[in-house]
Amino acid sequence: MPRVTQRSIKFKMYFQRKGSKEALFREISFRLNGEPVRVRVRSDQRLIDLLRDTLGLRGTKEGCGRGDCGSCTVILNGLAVTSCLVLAATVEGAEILTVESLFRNGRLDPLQEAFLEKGAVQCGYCTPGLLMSAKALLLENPHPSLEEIKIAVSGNLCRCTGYKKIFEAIQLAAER
Amino acid sequence: MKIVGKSIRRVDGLAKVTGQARYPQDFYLEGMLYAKALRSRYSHALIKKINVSRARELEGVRAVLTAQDVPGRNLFGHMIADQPVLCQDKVRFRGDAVAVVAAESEEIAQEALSFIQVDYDPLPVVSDPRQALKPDAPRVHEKGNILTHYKIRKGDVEKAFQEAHLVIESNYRTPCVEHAYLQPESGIAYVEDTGDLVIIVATQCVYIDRHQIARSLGLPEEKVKVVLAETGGAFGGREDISVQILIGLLALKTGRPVKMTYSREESILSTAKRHPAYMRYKSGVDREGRLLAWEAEIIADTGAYASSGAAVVQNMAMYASGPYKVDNVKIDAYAVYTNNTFAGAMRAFGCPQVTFASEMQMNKLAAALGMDEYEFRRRNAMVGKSEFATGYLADVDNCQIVCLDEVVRLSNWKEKRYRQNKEAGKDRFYGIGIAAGFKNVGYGSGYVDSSSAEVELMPGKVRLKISAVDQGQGVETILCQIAAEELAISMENVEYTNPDTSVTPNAGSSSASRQTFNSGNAVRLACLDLKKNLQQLLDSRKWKRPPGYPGHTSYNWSNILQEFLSMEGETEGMASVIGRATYVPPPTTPLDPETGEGIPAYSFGFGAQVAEVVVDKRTGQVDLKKVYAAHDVGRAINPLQVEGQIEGGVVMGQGYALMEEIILKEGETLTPDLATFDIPTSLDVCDIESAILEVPDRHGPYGARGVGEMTTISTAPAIAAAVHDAVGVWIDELPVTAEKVVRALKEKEFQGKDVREETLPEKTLQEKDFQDQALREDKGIAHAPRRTTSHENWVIFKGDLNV
Ligand code: FES
Ligand code: FES
Repeated sequence: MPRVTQRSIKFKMYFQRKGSKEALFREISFRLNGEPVRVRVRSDQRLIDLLRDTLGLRGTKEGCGRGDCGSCTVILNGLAVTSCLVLAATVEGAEILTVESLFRNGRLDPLQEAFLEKGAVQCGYCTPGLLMSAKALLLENPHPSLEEIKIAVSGNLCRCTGYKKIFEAIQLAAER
Repeated sequence: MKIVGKSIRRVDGLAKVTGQARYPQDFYLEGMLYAKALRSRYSHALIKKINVSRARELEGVRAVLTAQDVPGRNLFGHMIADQPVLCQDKVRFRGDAVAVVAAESEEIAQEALSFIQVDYDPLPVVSDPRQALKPDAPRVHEKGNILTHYKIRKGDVEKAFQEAHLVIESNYRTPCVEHAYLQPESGIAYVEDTGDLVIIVATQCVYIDRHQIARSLGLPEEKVKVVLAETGGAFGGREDISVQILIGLLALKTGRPVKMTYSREESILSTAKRHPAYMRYKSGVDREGRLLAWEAEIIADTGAYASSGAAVVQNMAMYASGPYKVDNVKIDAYAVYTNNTFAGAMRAFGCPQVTFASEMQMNKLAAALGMDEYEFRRRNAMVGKSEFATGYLADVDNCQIVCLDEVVRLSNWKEKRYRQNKEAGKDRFYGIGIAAGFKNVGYGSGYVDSSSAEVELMPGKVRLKISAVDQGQGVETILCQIAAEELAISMENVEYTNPDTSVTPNAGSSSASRQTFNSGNAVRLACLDLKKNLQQLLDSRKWKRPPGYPGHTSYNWSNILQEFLSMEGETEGMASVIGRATYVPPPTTPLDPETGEGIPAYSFGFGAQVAEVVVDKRTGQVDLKKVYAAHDVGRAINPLQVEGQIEGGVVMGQGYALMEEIILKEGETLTPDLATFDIPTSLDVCDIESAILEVPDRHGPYGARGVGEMTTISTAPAIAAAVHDAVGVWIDELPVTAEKVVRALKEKEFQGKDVREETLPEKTLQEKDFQDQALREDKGIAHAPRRTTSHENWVIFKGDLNV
């Protein structure tokens, strides 16, 4: 399977968001962080809004709403995607992982641990998206090179850290 | 020291990596409404009429408000209040809010905006600050377009230039850039049962916000509570009010919680920018390479409103001549209103602009003298007791020199600079450049700069109360480290209370690299006070020593403290013991309006950076290969976080040097998103090697100075110098884009010179490009080639030159 980066999966779907009264609804089922979910979605709802507004998973962040920043990255069927550009109605049957999936039973994912240890977190707004891009990378390629890491997170902007510590953290997590 | 000086993990890190940290966007309150603002359609226009009745009738709309609905002063501003909350009769830039809507959903609010009718009467637009200075230019404000004009006059520059061995004069231009913190502005407001208004927001200072909110809403300050949400970066951009007053207004009108979140476009369009600056610099040296005279004229575009523009431009004047000894200085710095997006505070507050120009001058002077750039700086650097351009005499130790020495050692400058073969592939050339830079810690310039802290010892923990905002820089961790160190307890025992104007005392804003310094001192003092109070408790015999403690002497404050900590939860009948303190730093003064005399600051942070690039001569592409950064931080309280500040600052400097520019045309932003306003990504950044130096400050906690801003100052001039080293052209206008490099190379070629052999700046007159209006002739897109007026330098040689 080819590795897919944020930038290469810009779903250029610019849709009009209309008043709720005109919207159509649809019921969908998918797996979210390992659990089955069945939920009614509006036809024009974005995946990020489904996660944050409807399902209350607010770890996924919005920084631009148009695929430029990567703060909203989640893993959709194994691939890191920007959830602001995915229509909720299209995830029927999919397997979705959000940042909330990394912290299970009080245990941090090695990536989270490494981000803390290496100082890869400052304001933290980019962090959930970066963690998910990195997670998608490691799921597919457990021992990435620095170049591969850079490419994998190239769709995730961070204005605070200068990225160096992020690369180091991902490398460290991969080593473990 | 057990805790200070250690790379402790961030105290807010766990919440951030698990997605539990709550930024304003993450607050969802029962029954909340969503707000949207209608922004101006023109860059400059009179408002004839606003009709909101159709918008009000829309189903789901709960309020549509205009200027008449603002109960208090319909003006706000970080330092000078001249920006309307909602415009009444005139709009001055595209980001001006004309009306604001609250509705049951974001979509309805958005739709309602299209039902608001505003009749405008367009006025002529002024979008170039040099034009705005002319007497017949359209007036942005009644009082005229000059917000401030700062002067510094020291010695006699005219005479010194005549005596100089060599004079270099150049024009520089730096772009308008955006902070681009990842979290767009957002906030939520509601009215409590007591009638108090609560505003939850990401900001840099809850108290400054509260003051402005209360003023505009016509409320006493105690009726307004500003609570900090997690703040997703700020870099100066959150010093100004964004959503705060609008949501407060709507919450009061509707009685329901109101949330407002800017889209990225709205954030770029309507919030403060870094001042674009046009700078003419003239510097003279003697035969030995000592600076004799320094003249600068700086015109900074402050946009439509004052914000902190006056202070930013004052800083530009103060630091225009760099960290160097010069006896003759003449600086004129203007902050000029235009119809562009307003400019305000941004990381390093005016210093990146003037440092770019002054360090370019230094590199050109060194080249013209045939001196090593590092040696030349070292020869002129302020050392020990030095007189600033403002006449202020201060001991700056050898901070600048240790930074220069260290960065030269680290980068192996001496060898790389004189490498003979600079070819790095076909048409590709290697170059290396150096730059220094310094900046004030703390507001300085006479502004009130105190910080107050409270430490409360209670069963099980020590609670630290202080309104210092952590915008990502890590001040929360730093202050907890300091408290733990002072009280000799572990970090786990310290709990940081979220800043809230009703709970935590005022610490001033998280800006000017001042929080570690000022709030660090405040926390230290509060801890001392707590210890004193504990000792008193013991002496007054109100505190009963537990049985089994024989001697009097061995039992002291720390035993009481430990007993408190070993208690569990709310122990009955246990009051807490509190230590309080306010730290007031040494005094500073504003600049004298005629001579510029004054005390600019009480502490300074220094740095020096070396950049290595490879430039493709054919395409003009500049590849930044590596940056070495040496920064004197006085004392690194948390070295890992200092490194984070250095790396983040360097990359922001890289963006400033090579990529970023907010392009405005007649006041309209042509780069309104993160696809057209490029900031560095993981693929753009280079390796960064940092050195943390520690020359203790006299007043800072444990000797610490500030670091947040200094790291972003010298990157751009170091890169520009490296480009010159690689291909022999000076690019005097940021960002150094491929187009500019190619153009400069073409022009050089046209003059029939081999650029590789060229060591001296060329001799051309410059006056015209300073008056040159034509900024952007192209119709708009970010990367279209632009006409540049860079690399026109004027060198006056006197006598012979021993190159
Ligand atoms: S919010 Fe989805 S990419 Fe920015
Ligand atoms: S930590 Fe602030 S944007 Fe990455």
